[in-house]
Amino acid sequence: MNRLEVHHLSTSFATDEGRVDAVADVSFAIRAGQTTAIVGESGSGKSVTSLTLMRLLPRTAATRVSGEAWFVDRAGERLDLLALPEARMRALRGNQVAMIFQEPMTSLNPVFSVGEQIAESLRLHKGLDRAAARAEALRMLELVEMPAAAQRLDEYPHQLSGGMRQRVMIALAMACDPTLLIADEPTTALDVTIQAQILKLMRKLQAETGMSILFVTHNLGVVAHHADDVVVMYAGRVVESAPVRPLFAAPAHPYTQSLLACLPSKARSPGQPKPARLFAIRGQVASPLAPPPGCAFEPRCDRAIAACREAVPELLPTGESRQARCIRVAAALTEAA
Amino acid sequence: MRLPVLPLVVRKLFRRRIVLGAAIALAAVIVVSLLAGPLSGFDPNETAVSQRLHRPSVEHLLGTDELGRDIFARIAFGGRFSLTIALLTSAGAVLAGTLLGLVAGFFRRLDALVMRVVDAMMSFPDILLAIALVGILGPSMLNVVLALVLVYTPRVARVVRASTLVVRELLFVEAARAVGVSTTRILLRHVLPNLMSPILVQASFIFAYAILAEAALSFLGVGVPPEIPTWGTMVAGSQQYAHQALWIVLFPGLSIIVTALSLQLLGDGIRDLLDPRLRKSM
Repeated sequence: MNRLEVHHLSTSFATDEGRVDAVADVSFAIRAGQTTAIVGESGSGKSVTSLTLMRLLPRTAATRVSGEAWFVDRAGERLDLLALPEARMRALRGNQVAMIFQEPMTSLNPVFSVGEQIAESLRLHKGLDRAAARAEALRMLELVEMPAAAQRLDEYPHQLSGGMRQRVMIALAMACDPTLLIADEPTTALDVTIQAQILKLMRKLQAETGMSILFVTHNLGVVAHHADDVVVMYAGRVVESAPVRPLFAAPAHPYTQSLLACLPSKARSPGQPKPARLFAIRGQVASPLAPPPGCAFEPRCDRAIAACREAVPELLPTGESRQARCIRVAAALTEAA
Repeated sequence: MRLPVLPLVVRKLFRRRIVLGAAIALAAVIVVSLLAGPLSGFDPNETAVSQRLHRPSVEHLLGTDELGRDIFARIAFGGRFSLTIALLTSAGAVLAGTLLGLVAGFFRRLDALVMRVVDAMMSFPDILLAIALVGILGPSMLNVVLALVLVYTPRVARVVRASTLVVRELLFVEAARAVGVSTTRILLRHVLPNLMSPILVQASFIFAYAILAEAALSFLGVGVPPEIPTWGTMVAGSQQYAHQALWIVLFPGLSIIVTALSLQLLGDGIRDLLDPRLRKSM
């Protein structure tokens, strides 16, 4: 069963220079109890996708959203997150759909103790009274393996380290036992050892609760270890989507191939001498204000041909539950067939 | 906001000597005002022409004014009115200004409308606006408070709006939304507590300003009626005798300075204490 199915999601913003498509025609699915990762560089639209799904985009930017996002709630009812009335969406947020942000430093309110912040969500959605919410908040802090949890309950965010704050954020997100957790670069602001702890914790919680995770990241190493399915985004569009193993074993889209080639471990196979330079994709992401007429990756692609410049390629199936947005891949497939 | 146990807070607050001094001075002013009658033993409005312009003495602690009224009694009774006016003014201005500022800062559509009105009000010199308002409403204590609230509300509104604009963009507001908190609750529970520092500073400023402004209004003759002793009317009524009997204006003037200064210092101390981020450094 799919916990969330996103169909043809597009989000655009009004800017002084005209309308910008931050996300265009994005479709993917998250299976129940599984993790889908959205991978892409800065500006690829991955964060906007997650904020659109949560309906948390700023109202000031004259945002235009189209598409559908079908979420299966606890009762088994199918709801379109993008069409739900705000009041029902609010009841869902923090309750069945929770979110963790990139910056644990600023996503906690500095004037409330962490216990109060976790308790707020519990009182809001579960209707617990003060004492019960506090007890439950303590249980949540213990669940996320917070050292000296009882003492931390009354501490303020500035008294905690970055890793501990992210644990609090996770406790906050997990408080109402969500079925879908949207994690927007949850480990980016943390150092590597803490990253590993947090990721391990999220995995443990997923195994215990059976929740689905939408994992937004630019870290391919994290994706390889923690995702079940991967969606690669470039310039607001999905360029490739595949289950994690096939994707890393045989990336289809030139962008995915280049991304994997950028990894230091890929640049140097065991036993080989250290390469002089790491591989880097040449050029820069095209400005969203003036997107290329054809494939957005064409200006940076080593395998581009004239046809690439003519039209945006379709997202075509390239194998079992695999898709890629590249005419050369599609052509190679038809040749082989 | 839930504070830790009270005695601990007080001890922390008074760890700074100057804050402790300010609190003691303010407490003294309040006690003297409350116990005005028994402490002074004089009726503040009782005139005795034979006793006019007496120097401070054992009988008249701070001397007498041009009508032979006991200055200590007048300062003590006047404190009640001056402090009441200041308290009501700062409470009223902070309430109204915070509401306006929050709304203008958080709901961007109302911003232009609210702030243009605020700007228009701020374009008048403070005292001039208050004089005009009291002139229209007529001199009474309530009208003075009303006029001063109107004068100081825009000031608070500006500061609160500016701080709201900063706080509303912080990630924890978005995080609160992601937890499903309603807009009203976000405003009251998440944004407002983060504005307590600037609001408290404004409140203590306005309290001090209001004492001075009331004095200025009374001095100009558009304040409270002359039969009510306030520190302002005392300075105003006696200024022409200042060169021969300095104590007439010195002591009410000192009362204003001491009270205003203590309030500022205490306000700063409380601000530092209320902000959990500054608490550690204290």
